[in-house]
Amino acid sequence: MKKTDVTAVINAHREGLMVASTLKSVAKAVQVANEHGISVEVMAIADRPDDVTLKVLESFDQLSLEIRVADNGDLAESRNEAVGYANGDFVAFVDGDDLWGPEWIARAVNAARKETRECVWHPEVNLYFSDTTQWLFHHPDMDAEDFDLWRQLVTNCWTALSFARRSVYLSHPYVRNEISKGTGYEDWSWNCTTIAKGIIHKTVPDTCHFIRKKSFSMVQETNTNEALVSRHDLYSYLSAQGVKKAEPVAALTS
Amino acid sequence: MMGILKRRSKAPAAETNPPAPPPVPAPSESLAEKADIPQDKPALESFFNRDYYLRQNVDVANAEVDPLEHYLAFGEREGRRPSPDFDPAFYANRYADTLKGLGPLEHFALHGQKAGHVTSDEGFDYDWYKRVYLSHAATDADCRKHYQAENQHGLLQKHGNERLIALRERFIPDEYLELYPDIVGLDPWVHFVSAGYREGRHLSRWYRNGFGHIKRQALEIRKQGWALRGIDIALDRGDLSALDKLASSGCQVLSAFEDALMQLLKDVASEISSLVVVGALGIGGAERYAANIFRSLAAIHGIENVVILATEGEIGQGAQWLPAGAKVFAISDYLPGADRPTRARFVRRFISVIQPRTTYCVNSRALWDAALHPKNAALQNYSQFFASLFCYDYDPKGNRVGYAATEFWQCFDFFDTYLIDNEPFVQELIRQFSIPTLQRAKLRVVRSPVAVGKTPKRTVDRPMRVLWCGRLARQKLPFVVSRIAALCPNVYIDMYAAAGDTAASTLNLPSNVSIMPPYDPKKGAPFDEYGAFLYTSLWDGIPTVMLDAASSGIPIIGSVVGGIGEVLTDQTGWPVNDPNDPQQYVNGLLEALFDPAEAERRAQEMLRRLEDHHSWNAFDANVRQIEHGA
Repeated sequence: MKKTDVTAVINAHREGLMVASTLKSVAKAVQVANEHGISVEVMAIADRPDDVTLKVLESFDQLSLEIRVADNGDLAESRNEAVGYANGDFVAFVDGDDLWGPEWIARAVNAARKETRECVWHPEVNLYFSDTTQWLFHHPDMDAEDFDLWRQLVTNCWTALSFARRSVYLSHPYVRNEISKGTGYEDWSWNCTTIAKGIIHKTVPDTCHFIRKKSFSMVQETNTNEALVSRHDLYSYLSAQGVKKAEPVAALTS
Repeated sequence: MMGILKRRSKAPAAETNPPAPPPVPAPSESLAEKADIPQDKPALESFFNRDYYLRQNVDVANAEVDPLEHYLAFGEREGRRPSPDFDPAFYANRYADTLKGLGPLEHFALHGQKAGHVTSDEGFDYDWYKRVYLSHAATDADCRKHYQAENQHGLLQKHGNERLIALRERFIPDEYLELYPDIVGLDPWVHFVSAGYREGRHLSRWYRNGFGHIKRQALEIRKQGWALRGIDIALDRGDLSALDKLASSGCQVLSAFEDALMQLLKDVASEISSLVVVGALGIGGAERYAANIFRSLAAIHGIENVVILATEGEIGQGAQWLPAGAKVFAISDYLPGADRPTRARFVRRFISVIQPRTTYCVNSRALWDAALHPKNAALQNYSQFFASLFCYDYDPKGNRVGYAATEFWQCFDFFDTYLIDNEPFVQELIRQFSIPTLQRAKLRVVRSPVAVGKTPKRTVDRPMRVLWCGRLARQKLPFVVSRIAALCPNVYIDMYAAAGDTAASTLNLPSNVSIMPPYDPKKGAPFDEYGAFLYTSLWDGIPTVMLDAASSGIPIIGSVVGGIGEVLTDQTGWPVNDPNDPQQYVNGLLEALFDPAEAERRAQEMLRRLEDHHSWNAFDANVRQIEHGA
């Protein structure tokens, strides 16, 4: 059986027609990756989707798309479920309304293969966009001299659209959001947890994502409810290392 | 750590949950007279920051007394600051030889300012200050003068981030003003260096520190964005031609709230087993109770694993009750001026990050607010919560107020156990709220400990003098003291009075009553100098000053309200059942003063009672049981 390098996971829910844009951007990134000899399987995990979203996924013909319909009602659980189905050495997530830059998969694989340590990869910069506004959201690289890891305790330094070895996601599953009960931010918590396990979060040079700013999003809902980040061990990890820059400890495990 | 403790204190002598005092119209003129206030007040006005003083001293604000007068009568000797930069204790110590009877602020106004005297040891990093605000050619005195003259908005700093020195060279004032017209009227650089950079404001439209190579990133987005043209209608509408001019965001720039929280976390920077959250760290009974909980927790977990956090006030003189090496922090040191919802949010976030196994709430408004949060159950994922309750307070109409009346029943389930310092209040809560039998175990009597040594040898210099301590507040019945004194003119009463909601001038005090400044909390009340201790109160838990008096062996005459009856009985002192009846107090006073043998017998019985109910071992065992059950 042919080895799969990357599983691209599209997390869909009720994006409706918007998910087509995401699929098209993924198709472009897959095409560039293939041109670099990288094999990619594409999976859409549709968590309690509405009809329109499901129909758009089913009718999209620019990709060989595996569609999994889930009943989690939770993004964290859907990510975990998708990782369970994935065959790729690497897994790359994209939310059903956001867009990858065309170079994302190819450059992320290239960077990851050169790295000997266990890492989670992020684009260097994100362009947030809506009908009326644009701004940049810059990702830090933990190897940067001026990066202060304590910031991750008070704000989430990276978006959820991460790229890492499948083993990383399997070893460190996302924690279910309980927004109605007051805890959430599964990506923030996951970033903290992985760092506390010694995994390094890095940026892939010359890469970008395009993040849609909607009038309502789950992050907004989480903020509105003043939700707390689900439990993680980053504070203990940093405290044990002292206030100076914490040194990652993990080596590549797979 | 204790090393970072501030000198300033919260208002003294709030024995228990302070009541919400009603406004009183008249300033305490007689207080001022008796406290020997200097007559050159106008000269001091320009060095006295009224707004600051009232903001920092809620008791003074509530009492609606003149803040400068309060400062001169009480605040200065209590170490309260007349402005953020003037530390009277520091000044008095440094210039002790030259004060010549003047108060520190008065001396500074008349002489010290001209001489360039230093007003605080939290002082200048002169080199930094010159490089950030002035120039290398400036003198240290120039720095102080500049600070005094220009700090009317409280934006200047005496020391700060090295990064700011480099940023100054890049700063373009006109661009900053153009970007942020809301700061009109302020010096743009002063705003940026003191607030703007913490708020995530950009130095100028073109400069963004810490975000990497903006132009290269913009080029890459443009290239890849063009490759996506046509696939997303909203993205297509965006302008990809000037991306390097867009606003930047990221964790590289934190909001003031995030920055404050991060700094606090860095200062704590160790695994925390238990957290004690207090409203303030003044010298009230609640703060002392919190300090005792802290001591017990420190003995259980190790002092390095326990934190005490003041959520409303500053770190005041109550910190002296904590053991050396205690980790003591105040939100006000990290997020000055934070409003009530922000403080509640801050304490929620702090707890969710450090995840102490147990958290104790002792009169913390912020933590009670967090407990009232609609999603309060979320917080229980991070810690187990306990709260202390002492008594009801009462508003001027006689309605019950305070945490026990207004918050307790609304978030009963949030706290696992309520630590209550007297049994009568437990029974009252059970009655009032019809607490079911199975739930009553949540209410636990944990009596305040008091040091009881051998029978003290009392050598009273002034046997006919009576000691009274407390706030001049309706709760403490100062009017009744006046009437007691009138009924026994041969007995002299010294009132060690802290400011409250009642002006001394309205009390019509007879000549056998003297108003004294509040006693030095480090030394405690001078029980040994008096023949009896008089305590008058409308409501209470078990006031710590009563326990202190009891442990000193002084005869006690006091009103039996709240939990006081647990200590003060006709076997241990002279209880007064009607707190408003002066004659009952007089009867007790006269017997205590004129029958030394009986006074000694009751004092001995009192000491036995303290040993039975208020020993440190009993308190410590209670806290240990709570911790082990957690």
